Amino acid sequence: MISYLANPKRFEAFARIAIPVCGGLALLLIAAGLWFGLLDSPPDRYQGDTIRIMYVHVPAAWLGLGLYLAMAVASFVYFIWRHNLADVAATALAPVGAVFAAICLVTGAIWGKPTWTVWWVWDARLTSMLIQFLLFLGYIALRAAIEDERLAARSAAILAMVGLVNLPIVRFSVEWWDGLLHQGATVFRADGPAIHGSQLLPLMIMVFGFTFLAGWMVLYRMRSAIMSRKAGNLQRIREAKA
Amino acid sequence: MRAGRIFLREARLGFAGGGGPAAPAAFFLACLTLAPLAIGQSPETLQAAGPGIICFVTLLAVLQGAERLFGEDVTDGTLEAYALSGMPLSIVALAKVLGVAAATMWPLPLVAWGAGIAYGLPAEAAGILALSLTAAIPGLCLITAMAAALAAGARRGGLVIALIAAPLAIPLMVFTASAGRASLAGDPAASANLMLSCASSLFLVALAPFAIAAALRARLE
Amino acid sequence: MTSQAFPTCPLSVEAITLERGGIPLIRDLSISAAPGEAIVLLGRNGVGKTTFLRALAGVLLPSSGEIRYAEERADRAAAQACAFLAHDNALKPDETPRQSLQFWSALAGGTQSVGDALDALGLRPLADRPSRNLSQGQKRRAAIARLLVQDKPVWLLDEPAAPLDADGRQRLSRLVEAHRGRGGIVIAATHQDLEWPGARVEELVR
Repeated sequence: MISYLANPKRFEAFARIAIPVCGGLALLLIAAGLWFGLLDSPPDRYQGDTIRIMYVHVPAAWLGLGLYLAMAVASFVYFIWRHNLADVAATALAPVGAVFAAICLVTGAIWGKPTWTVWWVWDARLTSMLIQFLLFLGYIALRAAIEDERLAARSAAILAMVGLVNLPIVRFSVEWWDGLLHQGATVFRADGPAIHGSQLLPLMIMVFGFTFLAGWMVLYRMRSAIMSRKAGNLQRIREAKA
Repeated sequence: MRAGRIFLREARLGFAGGGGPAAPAAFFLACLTLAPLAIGQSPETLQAAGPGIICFVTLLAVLQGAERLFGEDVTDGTLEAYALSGMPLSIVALAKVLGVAAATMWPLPLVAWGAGIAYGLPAEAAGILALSLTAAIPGLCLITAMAAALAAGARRGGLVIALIAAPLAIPLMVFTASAGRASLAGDPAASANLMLSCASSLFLVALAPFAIAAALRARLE
Repeated sequence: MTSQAFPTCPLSVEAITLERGGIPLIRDLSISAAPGEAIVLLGRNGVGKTTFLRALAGVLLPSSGEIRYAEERADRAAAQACAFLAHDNALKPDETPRQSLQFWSALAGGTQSVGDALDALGLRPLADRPSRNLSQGQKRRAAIARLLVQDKPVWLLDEPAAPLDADGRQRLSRLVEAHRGRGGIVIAATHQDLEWPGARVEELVR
């Protein structure tokens, strides 16, 4: 699929259809999810209306991790096969992923205040998401700091892959740390293993809606990046001729 | 052994240049002096925070030298010479980083042991902490070297190095500080943490050189 | 200094294109060098002389075409075949020329004498002075001495003579001749002719 789309013309044709489709689906699904989630589902037995923050928090958490994985895969493809499109994808994914990780953190804090009376607890899940956010920031900063475009792309790709290899170890160490610090703290197990059906449906709708939203943003950014690269190349070729 | 020659040369250069082992040791000591002034002199607080502060400051001390690590090699032609030496760049990188680490970082565990005592840790807990720092420092050096190779020659390189090294250093931070804290509490988990510090460092010794080599190779092109 | 002949290692460059920042810098360049040949690549700033040398050293892959040393591709063969004198001298300020040469000699297998290399460049009296106390020309001499201890058949030289005085240039010219006499190849990139007797001059233009 990637080698099929590596041709910029084919990507252009794909994006022309995929961007409005993703945007439309995102709009529809998020509207439906909000309707079901905010208006058409009963408040939670324990958490009342604050449970509704979950409909934003959980999809954002999924994308914070999912987009990082996608970025690492795109980086791997770029590093091995040198498809420029993969690099464009990784670059486009990073800020979007960072924003979703940030949304997850902020909604988590807003959810935490009424639920456990504090904005922030240093537990494994919140801390892991904070680290995820930092990984995105590091990637963006490295990319911005290197002037040579090819070098920036290669270095950033290596960083994303290193981050991916490290991720399970970081997660393990954070859980280890969490267990050692406050044993038996069950703050985040509040949402429990079982989730009520009336909550599950809007949650799933929101997860898909957010995913399409992310897809829309990423594809849009990719198309803009390709156009601006093209423009840059044309300009450089003209300068080289002059 | 040709890798041994690289280790010895880089150790010699690290020892002679830029303040050698005195610079990170002095910086380490300065930070450890400031910490109690910032968080207060209550013995309980200092004792509880001691292992964590000492580990954290170790990371800062290791990061201090990071920008210099590959900066010169990339611009002065040394990297090309190494690339044409017939040695894999990963071996060159490993020998170089460990050489510099051995020459410049050895005072840190000693100072850490003294600082642990000064922060009110029992001698044994301070010893365990120093031991697990000894295990962690090669790993921390490899992480910062990886970040330094990725950001060599970048604008505001030092800042970028710190930012990308920080999340990678988390496991070592956790295990090393936990070893000190657990030992303070008389918890048998201290040795488990010590082992995990060693394991993380070994993991980095095995894999980080390849990432460093890939980053350096990208810089050669 | 032992002066056995090198195993024959002809260089052939076939229709390579090199890019920098996505723009082709060198197009369809073909060139070849037989053992014993010296080529001086003349060209103005920015035509891609350094880029070309880096491609010959195998660290930069051409976007098309091929570079071969004795039938093997440059990225694999260069480490065996080439010694590279970069624009900068790869000397460390805290290292003396002797220490530096001893290190690179050991890394290359230690077949050549460090003392002879120092003598060949007239560096004997400066051998134990840290590089930071050497002049630009003296540093260049120390870097050229490294080529001797590395003992590779192909020398890739980037502006080798730029900071050298008349004596230094003469010594370099003699060393190049001796290297060719052993069946070595010398490729030098420069913006000013080096006036090496018997060297082929190739002009690089955009």
